[in-house]
Amino acid sequence: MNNFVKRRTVNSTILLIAVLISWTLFSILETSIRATSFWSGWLLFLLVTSLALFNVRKKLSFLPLGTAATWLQFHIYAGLFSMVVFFAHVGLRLPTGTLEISLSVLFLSISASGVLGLILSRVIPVGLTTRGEPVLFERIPTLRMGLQQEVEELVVTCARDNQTTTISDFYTSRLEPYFRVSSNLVYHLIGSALPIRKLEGEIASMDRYLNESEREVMAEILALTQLKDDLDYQMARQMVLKGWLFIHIPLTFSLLILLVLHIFVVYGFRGNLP
Amino acid sequence: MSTTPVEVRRPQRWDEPFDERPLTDREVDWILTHAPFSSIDESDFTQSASLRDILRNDTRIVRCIAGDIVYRTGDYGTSAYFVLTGQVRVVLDQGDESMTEKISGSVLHTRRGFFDSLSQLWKNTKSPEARDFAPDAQSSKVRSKGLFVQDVPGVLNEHETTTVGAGHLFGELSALGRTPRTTTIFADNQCELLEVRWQGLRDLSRRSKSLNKTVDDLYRKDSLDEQLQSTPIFANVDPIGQKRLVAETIFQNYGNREWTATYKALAEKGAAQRLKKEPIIAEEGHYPNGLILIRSGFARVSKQFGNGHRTLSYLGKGQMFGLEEIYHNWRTTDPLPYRFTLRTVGYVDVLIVPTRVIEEVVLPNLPEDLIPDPPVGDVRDGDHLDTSSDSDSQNRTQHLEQLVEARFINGTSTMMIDLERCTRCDDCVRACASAHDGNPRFIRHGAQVGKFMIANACMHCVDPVCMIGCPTGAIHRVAHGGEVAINDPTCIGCGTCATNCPYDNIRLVEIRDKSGALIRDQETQAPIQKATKCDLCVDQKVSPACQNACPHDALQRVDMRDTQTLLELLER
Repeated sequence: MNNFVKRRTVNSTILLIAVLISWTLFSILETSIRATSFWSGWLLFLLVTSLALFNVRKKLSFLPLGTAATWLQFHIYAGLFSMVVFFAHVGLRLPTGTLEISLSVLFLSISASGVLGLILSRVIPVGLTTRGEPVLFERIPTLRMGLQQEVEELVVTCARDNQTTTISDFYTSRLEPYFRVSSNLVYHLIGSALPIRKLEGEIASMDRYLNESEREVMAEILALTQLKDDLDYQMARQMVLKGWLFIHIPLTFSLLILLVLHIFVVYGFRGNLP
Repeated sequence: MSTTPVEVRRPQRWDEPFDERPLTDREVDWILTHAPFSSIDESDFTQSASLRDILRNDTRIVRCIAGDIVYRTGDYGTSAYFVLTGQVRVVLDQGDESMTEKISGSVLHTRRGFFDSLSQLWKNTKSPEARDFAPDAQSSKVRSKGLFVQDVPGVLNEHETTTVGAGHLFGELSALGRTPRTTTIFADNQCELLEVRWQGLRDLSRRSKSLNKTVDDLYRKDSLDEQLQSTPIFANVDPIGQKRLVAETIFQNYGNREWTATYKALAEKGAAQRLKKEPIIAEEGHYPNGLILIRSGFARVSKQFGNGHRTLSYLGKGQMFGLEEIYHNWRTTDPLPYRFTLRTVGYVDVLIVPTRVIEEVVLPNLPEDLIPDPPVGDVRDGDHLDTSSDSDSQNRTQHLEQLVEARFINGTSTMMIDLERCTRCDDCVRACASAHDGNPRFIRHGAQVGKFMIANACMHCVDPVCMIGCPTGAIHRVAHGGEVAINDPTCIGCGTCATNCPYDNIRLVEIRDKSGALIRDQETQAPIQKATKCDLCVDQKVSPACQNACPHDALQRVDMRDTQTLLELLER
């Protein structure tokens, strides 16, 4: 059993025990006709706050606050636990009222984006190693421009040497838009090679109009086209890896604000309830 | 950000003398009356680096009273000492843990406090590579606190010691070999020492033939003594046997000291061509005529496989080759030749202890726990030397060969990133920047070995070749821990370290003042540069910040000397 499997087993066991303990406690409270929602609410608030602290820990990397890996493990399992507590708090019913609906929608969206993010962060990196060189996200536009320049030099030289515009026309109409921007991002996300196969087909179909020297140039352009496709693949997948946090984190802060409001409202309108 | 450049004089070699101030003419005259300097001919030196200039700037006078510690076992230092007056005492015992109890004071704490660490949140400069040019901020001196032996008689009673008197040199092994100190040395009585940083020692040796011979002889003798003492199988050898070991051990070196200049071109050649360029130290199938101890550098252990050779492991400082075969031949009548070939990776210093000496002096006294396992088939010393041809074994060989070809085996804190776990979140880069005034000291990019990326971050090498040639000693090993760090105020931006680093892990940056204005040389108007690199967060509460900040356990700092752990990591 490797260390990761061992860690997953231990953490899952702790989560299971926590769920069992809380379920037992809530059942006891329920039986004794106490306000279960008071305890589950505060527990949920504590959990959400501690989950949000992970982002604060990232900003304080120079303080001895434990490793980020330990925090992430806590974040994952406490996040799963908070989903259980959430259902214990609201019950299996549809929320009513603007505040309640907003809170529920926000919580469920954060939970869903968290689970999705976890899956993405486990699946996408493996995929990234299968296509092209490991590239820095920020350098992709520069690398793309470099490829475009290489292709343009080939096209210009070929037109000058052969006194024909077959390749340059094809470049202007078909390849220039492809090299100018990151393309086919959605296709790369779903793992489809359809667009690049189509482009390769178009390049191959040019063969009949080219002489020997132009064919050699076209073969080089094809190789660069494939390199550009690898860059697009990296771009699409790395963008998603970075992008999901732009949903998860702002939603968390919105939830925290609404949670505070929720607490004020609950205490303001609780009347004589215990 | 300000765009008006600030003009300063370009830093020079001796802008930052070794001491807080250059030695005075009177002090230099006084040093020149003492051995060995009294016999050095000043005309052997050049005008630009005269003997007086070297003494004035590259040395400092250390005055000690009885019990003052000069350095301790395990400390890193890049200076050597000449005894001018009095004498010092050398504690010869290895692993003198009890010494630390007899020493007042503890390890120097150079790490930031909690609030100092926290203040980085708002104190870090917004401009890239900003430097504080206030006079107080430019102090670069790293001084050791005065440590002393509390119980001198106790040390003398419990430890084997010897003395070094006036006119003699000590500490050259660490200074020249970039290795930790191997002994503890304290003042035996009131004495005056001349501490010379290694750049000065190098220049002194280069110009003075007599001094060069003294340094060279001492270096060879001390390193031989140190290696024999630190090798466990020699621990039970009696004093007569020890003398025989010293007398008969052969000191040899293989390969080219300037390996950094050629290894990249070599790595591009085919495996067979590369192997041909690696001098053979011991060959598979030959009679084991000696036990080979690696003194410095690296050696490749390989085995014939088909028409080629397969890398099974690599050996570094302190490891040995051939003991199993020699022991087997000593115990049985069935002679066993070397089962593997040992080749030089770049450059290697070895000690060869003849088989006859091992059989007569070492093996009869060998402690039971050090007796090698009997050779079984082709497997030697653990499963990482598996020579089978299954897929795992092939991958392992491929990884090892890649690590050896690229010389990544030199690293003690190599940054390895598991690309199948790394989400490219750059938390590691941000954490590094936070710990270095907003400037990351590595690039998350580099060569790939299996699923791991060896990122462009200083590996804090066993043999930090970047330190060779630094004219000011700005790049140095941290005394307690041995991390390789750059003392920014002393760095003159010559780029020698960056050129020497075989792994491109040192970068020259153009510096600015706190307002963001570029700092230029007042004479040439060229931007002032400084060398920068990972310092393993030596001054931070959390180190290394990059590893601590990785949420996915993708980034690890790995000691490449631990082959077993390394292979486990590569195969996880």
